[in-house]
Amino acid sequence: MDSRYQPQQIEEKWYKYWEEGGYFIPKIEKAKKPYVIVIPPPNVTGILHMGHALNNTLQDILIRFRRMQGFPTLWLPGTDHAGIATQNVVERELSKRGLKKEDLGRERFLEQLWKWKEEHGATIIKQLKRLGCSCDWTRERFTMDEKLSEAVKEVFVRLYEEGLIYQGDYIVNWCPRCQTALSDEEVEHREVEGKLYYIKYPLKSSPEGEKVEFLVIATTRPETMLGDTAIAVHPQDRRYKRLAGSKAILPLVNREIVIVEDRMVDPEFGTGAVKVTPYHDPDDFMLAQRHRIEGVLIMTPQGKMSENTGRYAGLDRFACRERVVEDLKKEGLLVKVEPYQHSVGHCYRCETVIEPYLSRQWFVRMKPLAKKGIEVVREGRIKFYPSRWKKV
Amino acid sequence: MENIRDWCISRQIWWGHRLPVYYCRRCQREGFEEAENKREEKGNKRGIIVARTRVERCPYCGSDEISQEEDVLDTWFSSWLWPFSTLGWPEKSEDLDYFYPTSTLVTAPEIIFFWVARMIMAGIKFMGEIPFRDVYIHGTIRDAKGRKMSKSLGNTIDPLQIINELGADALRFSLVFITATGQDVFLSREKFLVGRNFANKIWNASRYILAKTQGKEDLCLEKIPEDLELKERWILSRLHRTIEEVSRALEQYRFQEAESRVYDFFWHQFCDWYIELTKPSHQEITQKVLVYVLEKTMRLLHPFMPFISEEIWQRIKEGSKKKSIMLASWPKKEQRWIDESAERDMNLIIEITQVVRNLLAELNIKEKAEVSLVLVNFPAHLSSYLSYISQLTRIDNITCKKEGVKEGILSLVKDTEVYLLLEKMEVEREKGRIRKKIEEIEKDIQLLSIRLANKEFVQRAPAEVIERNRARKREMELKKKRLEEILSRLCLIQS
Repeated sequence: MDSRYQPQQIEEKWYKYWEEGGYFIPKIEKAKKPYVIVIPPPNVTGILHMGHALNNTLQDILIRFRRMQGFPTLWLPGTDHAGIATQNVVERELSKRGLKKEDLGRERFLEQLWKWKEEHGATIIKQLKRLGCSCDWTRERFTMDEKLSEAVKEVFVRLYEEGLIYQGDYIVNWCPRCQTALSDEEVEHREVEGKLYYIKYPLKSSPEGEKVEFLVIATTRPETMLGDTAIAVHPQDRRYKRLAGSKAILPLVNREIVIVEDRMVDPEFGTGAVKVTPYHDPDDFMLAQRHRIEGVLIMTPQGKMSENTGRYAGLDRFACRERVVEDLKKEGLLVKVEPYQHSVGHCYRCETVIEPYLSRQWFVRMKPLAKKGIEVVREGRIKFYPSRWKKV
Repeated sequence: MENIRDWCISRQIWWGHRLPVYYCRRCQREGFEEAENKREEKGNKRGIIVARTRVERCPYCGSDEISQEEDVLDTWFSSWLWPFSTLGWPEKSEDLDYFYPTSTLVTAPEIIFFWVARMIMAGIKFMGEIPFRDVYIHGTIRDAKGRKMSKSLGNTIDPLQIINELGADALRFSLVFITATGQDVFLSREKFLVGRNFANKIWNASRYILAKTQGKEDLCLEKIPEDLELKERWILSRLHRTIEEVSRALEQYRFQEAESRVYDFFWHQFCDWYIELTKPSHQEITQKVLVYVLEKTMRLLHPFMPFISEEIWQRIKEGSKKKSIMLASWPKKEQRWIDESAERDMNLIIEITQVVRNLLAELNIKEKAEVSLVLVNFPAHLSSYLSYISQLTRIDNITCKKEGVKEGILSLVKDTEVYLLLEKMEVEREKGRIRKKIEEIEKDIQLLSIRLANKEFVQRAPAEVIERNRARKREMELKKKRLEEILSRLCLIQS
């Protein structure tokens, strides 16, 4: 025995011995209950970080413990194709060669992706082996394996046939750079020092017996006013009691817009009167549906102003913001600008500011699926350790 | 899960599962697609075909003007099926039948909701059964200042680098050691030394044991006789208790507790006391017990440190037919070895030893020959084990008496009074030395008090600096109290 402990030598030697001996592969013994863990699949682009190291150490501890206890023990490993993340990696490589994915076309671009996966996809697997993970590598899976893709198709078709998948127009989190919708979880919310703009919206006519000439609304995104089709106030807000149903004139655009009452309006925000931009804000979209108000699409998928914005068409969304503010100032309709700290969504891959955007997408109806999940957790059929997580 | 929104599953990228949706351009031209495609109750609208296999012709009009949807599915649309798609679903495979539902999911808090919840939903929907019985959620790794590790902050520590420098066992052991159940982990480079140091300890202790027992391969450990000495009865009892505690903690996902039980047992019971006591002995039974305990402890350690435990185990597997420690059975607690009186007795001996060692250190006595020990009220049935104390303290002259002596320093351990007699003790010199030390400490305390009373300092200094100063002050005060105690006893002897 060496007088000094030298981990490098013994670790490599024993991992090879275990793998060659097939000791990670369970024997199916029908009479015995198995112990099974499926790995939370790391991204195929992944490189082992401390979070992975902890996560996989804990899994390996459980697996080795149960295996020694005599359970037929399976730790099933694999990787996730990680859509946007992987595509971005390959796009970046292409751009070094001055190429865009459109230059290659869909098929050849996908060939490049598979090639990348063959060359680099095993990095994290090798690293898990260095950590000592006793996974059954003969059962390694990838989310885009043929068989797993069959499963995906099967689920899609079944849910569609049951009416649980539908196509619809909806406000999604849109990344103007990646040109794709993002799920709520793919949006990173950051506190940003922004501004709150107070803007006068003239009334078409004052309500009877009153001398109100305009309403002031507050917004952090003044350029979206070009897509406003209503103003909303809370029904119990005394300041605006008699205004519901009357009309205002949208500045810069000179469109008549209606004033509605809605319980979802927060009377504490700004002046309590809020602009409604149905196609560029998720809450406004819902509100507009409740009141059957149409919207106006004012941006292109690239984040530029659309032809529906007249003289602003073609401007970048942030350049348009400045121009709108200037124009409002000129017309004496900008009341004030306050510094305002608020949370702004950013794309988790490229950090571009997310734009809520109306587009045609596919959706899974979650309520009918969630119902049973909630029951199962509530009945304690799935146990959470530590238990404080149950409530999530 | 209660306020759930519908899940947008289409993505405008190319890498992923393309939606199995086909459009018939002819049907669409003929106006079957509604102008306002609001959320429909059921699928299957004319012009839109959803199918498992590629569609060549429109089932309604027979046209071959078919195009597939360009969008791909959200990545999570495949990972919510992971617990059963990996086992062969929708095929009714043997794996799926045997291994589903899985036992445990181990995951990080960041992805708890959307992934875990969706896997539960998919499991119930498509398998009619939950995908896992237990969900263990561990903490987030943070740096020493509590910030999340991220490339942009530049505060990451690369696990591969730790593996290269210190070994995977050290990395694994350290990560678990500093992780309280489900709590966040505050990491810095030095924290990995705990694993490395422990691995070194295991290595060195094993080398010692192997050298001592060399050539004695036939150590049939199941035949250990029952009439054992105290130290053997004690270590075997401690071992079997540890087996029980580690198993129970692992059953309940208390990883850190399980690991520290193995650590404490191996280092602070087996190495610190048992191996110390066996050093002069060449008895066969001692050798047997050394190997027996080492072998069982390596098995207990295996899930935490798989490599070093295998390396050591392979050298001592004592005729086991198993080819790897991985395949060896998990140790079982054997009630016959649980011996409460042995533990009580050994604890007394250990505590007395510690008290004596501390006194010797505080009095700065290196010449053990000038010192003798008197024990009053030491249990009679342990008198044959005074040699343990002698061996552990290196004081040869130990006697037991019925009543107290007039001189020496007194300490009380349980019911036993411990007197340390310094034969050539120059009490005055000792007293002077201790007084001087107390004065120095008082000065330090005064300085610290002034600093901590300084408003400007308290307001401006970082919280950790202030806390360090406070801790130092507390430590000094404790030390002063302890020295004053010794001083008062020295005075007592004089009177």
